[in-house]
Amino acid sequence: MRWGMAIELKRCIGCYACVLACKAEHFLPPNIFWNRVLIGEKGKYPAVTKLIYSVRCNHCADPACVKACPTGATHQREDGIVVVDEDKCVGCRYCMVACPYQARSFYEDGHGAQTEYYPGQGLTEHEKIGKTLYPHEPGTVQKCVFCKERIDAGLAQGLKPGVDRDASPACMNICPTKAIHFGDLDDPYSDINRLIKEKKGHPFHAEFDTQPSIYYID
Amino acid sequence: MMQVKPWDFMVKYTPQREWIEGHGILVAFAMFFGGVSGGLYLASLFFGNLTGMVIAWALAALAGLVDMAHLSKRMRFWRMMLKPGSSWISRGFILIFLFLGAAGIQILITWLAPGNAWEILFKVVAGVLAFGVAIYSGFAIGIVGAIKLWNSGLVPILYVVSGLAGGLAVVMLVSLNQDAASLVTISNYLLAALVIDAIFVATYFWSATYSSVTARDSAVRVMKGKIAPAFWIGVVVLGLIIPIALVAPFSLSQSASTVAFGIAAVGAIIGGIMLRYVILKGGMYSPLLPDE
Amino acid sequence: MINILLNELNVYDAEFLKKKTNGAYLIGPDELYVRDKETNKPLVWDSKANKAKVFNDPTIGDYALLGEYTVNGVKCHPSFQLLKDHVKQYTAEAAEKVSTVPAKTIRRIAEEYAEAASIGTTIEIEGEKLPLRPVACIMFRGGQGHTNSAHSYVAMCILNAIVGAMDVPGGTLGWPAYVGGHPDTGRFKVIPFPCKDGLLTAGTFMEHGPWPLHPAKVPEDMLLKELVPTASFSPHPMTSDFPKYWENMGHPYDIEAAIIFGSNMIRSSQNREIVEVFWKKVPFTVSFNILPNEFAEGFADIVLPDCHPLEAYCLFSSHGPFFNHPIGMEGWCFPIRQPVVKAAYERRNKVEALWDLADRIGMRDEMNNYYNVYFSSFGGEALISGDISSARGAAAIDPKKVTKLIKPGEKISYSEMMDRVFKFYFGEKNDLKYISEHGSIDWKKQVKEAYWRWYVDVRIPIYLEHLAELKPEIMKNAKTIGVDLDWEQFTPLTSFFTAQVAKEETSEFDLYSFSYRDILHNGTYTMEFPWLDEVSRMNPYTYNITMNADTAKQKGLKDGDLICLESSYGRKITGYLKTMQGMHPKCIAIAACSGGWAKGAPIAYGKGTNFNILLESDFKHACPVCWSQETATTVKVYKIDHRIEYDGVGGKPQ
Repeated sequence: MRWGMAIELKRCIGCYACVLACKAEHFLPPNIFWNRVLIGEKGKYPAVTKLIYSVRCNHCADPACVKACPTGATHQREDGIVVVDEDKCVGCRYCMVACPYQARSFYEDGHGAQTEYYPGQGLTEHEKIGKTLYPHEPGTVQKCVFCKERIDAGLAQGLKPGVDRDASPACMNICPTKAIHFGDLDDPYSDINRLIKEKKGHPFHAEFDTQPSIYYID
Repeated sequence: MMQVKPWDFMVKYTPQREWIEGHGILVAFAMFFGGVSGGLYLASLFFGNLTGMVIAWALAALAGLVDMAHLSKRMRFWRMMLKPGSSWISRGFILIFLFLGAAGIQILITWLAPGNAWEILFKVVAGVLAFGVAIYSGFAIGIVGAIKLWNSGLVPILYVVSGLAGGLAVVMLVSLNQDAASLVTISNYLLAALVIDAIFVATYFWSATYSSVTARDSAVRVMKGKIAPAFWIGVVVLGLIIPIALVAPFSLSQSASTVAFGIAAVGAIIGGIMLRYVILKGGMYSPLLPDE
Repeated sequence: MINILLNELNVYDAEFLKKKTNGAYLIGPDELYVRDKETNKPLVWDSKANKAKVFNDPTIGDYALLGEYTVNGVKCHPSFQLLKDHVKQYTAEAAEKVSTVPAKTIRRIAEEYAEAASIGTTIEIEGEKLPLRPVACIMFRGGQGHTNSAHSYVAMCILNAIVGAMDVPGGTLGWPAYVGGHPDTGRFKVIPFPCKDGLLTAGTFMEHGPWPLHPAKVPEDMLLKELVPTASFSPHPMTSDFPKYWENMGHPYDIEAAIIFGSNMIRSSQNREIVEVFWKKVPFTVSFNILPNEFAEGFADIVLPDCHPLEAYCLFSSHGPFFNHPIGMEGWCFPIRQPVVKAAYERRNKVEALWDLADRIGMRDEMNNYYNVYFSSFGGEALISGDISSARGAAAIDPKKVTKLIKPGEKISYSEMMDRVFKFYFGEKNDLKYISEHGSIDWKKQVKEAYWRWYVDVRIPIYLEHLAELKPEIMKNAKTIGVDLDWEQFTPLTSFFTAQVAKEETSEFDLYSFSYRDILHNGTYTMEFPWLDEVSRMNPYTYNITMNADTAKQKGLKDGDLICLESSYGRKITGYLKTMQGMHPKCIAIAACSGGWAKGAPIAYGKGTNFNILLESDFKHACPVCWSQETATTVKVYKIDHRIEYDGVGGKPQ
């Protein structure tokens, strides 16, 4: 089993819902993003194409970050999800340096980093709840976890990730244009594999040689 | 600080920041200390300079400490040794510890009971480890495929050569009270190391302009952008041209000048720090979106 | 494109034009319908019987769309013939000159549109055979926000009408919606119906219904709306020329107190100084608001803290079946907004606060009646062709048609009102408890609801006869209060008029500036939401002023420059430049309604640029027919050293 994603670029409207859903799902602190939207353009007026890419950790099959990590904090689960064990991370940030997609963030609490969403006004109820429900360890590196908590809990209930909402990543669920698909790349009959095959999905910058688990469909 | 507009992050060339900005500057120092430590130890072995060996040991310890200081979870530093099979940081950290042990024993033997087989054995072991300490940081960044400027086989060699030059400069500094002949000998080696260093620096940045668009972009930034003063003044003028200019005449005439040699050595050391700084600062990530 | 379709490609859906528009109505030399002398109904030409008949005469063999006839002793033409001839002047080449879109491109799109419309084809859905017209032409504020708004919009509608792509599969769907009602009760019902001259009246329209027309009158209140009945909304009295007309009207009254609900008009409409002139004169202002915004800080004597949408139930956001209900064959869904957190501080649901106020001033009965009328209007009979934008308007509705969900004088909570409304609309079991647990009430949509156009005997105008009819009266009334409008626009045949902004282009003020809806923001409130602010800062457009890269270069500007946009009226705004390729070289654009200056909104403070400061507001900058404001302005652009619009205004940056 290897979880993967397919993102249809023609469907993406650049609304940032994936970024915000992730913020909400994981109670991410200010200035921490587990996914982003990259916006650019190609060509010259009047023949211009707008480029919009929803990006996050590619959960590469051959991840540069895992090789870089000196402690084993960054490791790959059997289902392909690359995670950081915040109890083992020492904060050397070699993984951040090594990631060609720059998908990782370093979380600092204090040290001049913004800690409240309304600076000087204390934590909101939502932020307080987050500190209990989804605490983040300051001084460690963090990144997209493919919503492993949702996947694990969903599978335990017999649900299918990528099909059932409660077993699927938050960014996929929220996407208003259904541009994001999720599923098992090892299952040749999975919807995601069919989609990748039919619509000629390709990994983002295959030249980095890390074998991403996220495919983009032009 | 190189400012990238938030919307240009990974859309345009994006500088490496974690290992140079803020606390990250410590990485440059750790790399420098490690490099000089290794070079100095090897040079000290060659010249039989015990003071140099002690300083090399101290610099290695400093490299390790600075490495640890860079960590946000310092009490977990021991975890850094857990993945030598895959991580160059892990390997480097282990090398530093092993070197500190081996060189420490060797220094004690040389100081207290010199001239036995154990001394030779520990000199060989510590010498090999010193080479490792000098070269590992070159591998640590050399294997980062994400940063094209770094991703070159030349980096480890450059780091060793630069470490040797720095090491010889330290040997020179601690030997300034010695006789002219000894100084000239050291200066000859320093000159050679600096010339080789200069050749590698030139080759490295020149080859970067040919290896990939991103590496060329980095090299252009190093030579023409905001980092250019650090490169031209720090690395080239202070670190290479002035030391070579000061050392070469004496080397040719087989005479010595403690002032000239002293300034040359200090310049070479500053150049060594600036080289690490410039390389780390020049590291750029390739844009993920096609360029206009 | 209309011209290309009608006169070059000869493509149109004759069936639709004959039966669903006034294209067959005969027009006399006075630009008005030729009417039946007995019934006063418009006449059409029955080409089978070769005689004129009333438009809805069941014996009509076929409607003539083209030709010239003599009826009632006057020469007349079907309006479609007039339209077809009229648009001949609008060649692709002429359009290219105005729009810069190459004539070749206009022709190509017209051809593709004509082909894709596949006129004559049908599709079967759930046993119903329907026309299939998979093309649509849609316009929102971009095209509407100019002084030629009405005619531009009508042209766009005609483009849909001539290929019959209205409320049929593939075509434009929606406004005005057809909802047959919940199967258990028949309520929550909205059905368009034919009204004067067989033309469509929407099943629901909250304010100043567009059809049948209100009579044109000399205005009596500050909105001046009676002056031009074709306008549904009014920019007055917050316009720079309003005081003049008000004095001409004899200064009938002054506003003594005002209550504002949540809006932020000092920032979100026209130039703030123009707005300020009006509000300065209002002695007492109350603002219901969720945060101390620019308006509240600037003008409110009292701010009543309203609940945030996540803190309160809302019943009304789902009442627009024409707007936010599922489209096409997706089933009906009546969702509710419900609280996820308790209201913080002393926030209160504004309706409950209003009831309290109503009690104090003795208006509880009227307020209850207003709600009864409102809900009854969805309760079976299409009541809201009257004006229920006010308690006064609601009082005029026939009480026999009103279900008394709330008794006069009865005091209930907002959630109790919701409970009663849901039971009324959807039956006893679908009460508030049920809908709160399930999130929405869902029921199946019938084909005739989704694609209703051919199931309801209504027509839409492709010839705006009413403009010709109203013109003399409006002109007379306007004269009495000294209003002068672009009278040429009161023409029944849709025409091109140069927008005011284009008239103001000079070699100095050479760029067209406008604001556009940013994908992250809605109004001004979302700017104070830190998550949205965070992603806005990562977005290249949200907080920046965008401009074509080559134009910027020509003007010596580059990415990141702090620039000033100055209108020909001397209004100035500043912001940071982001150049891009995907922007017309003549345009400069500002996303969203940013550039906040309120102290109470520190997240929004100073982010982006408040475009609206550039906007004039007067009759000259409004469409004479529908009163849409001109929302673009010509500017010159240059570098500047600081944000001048913050000089002496608002709070301080954090």
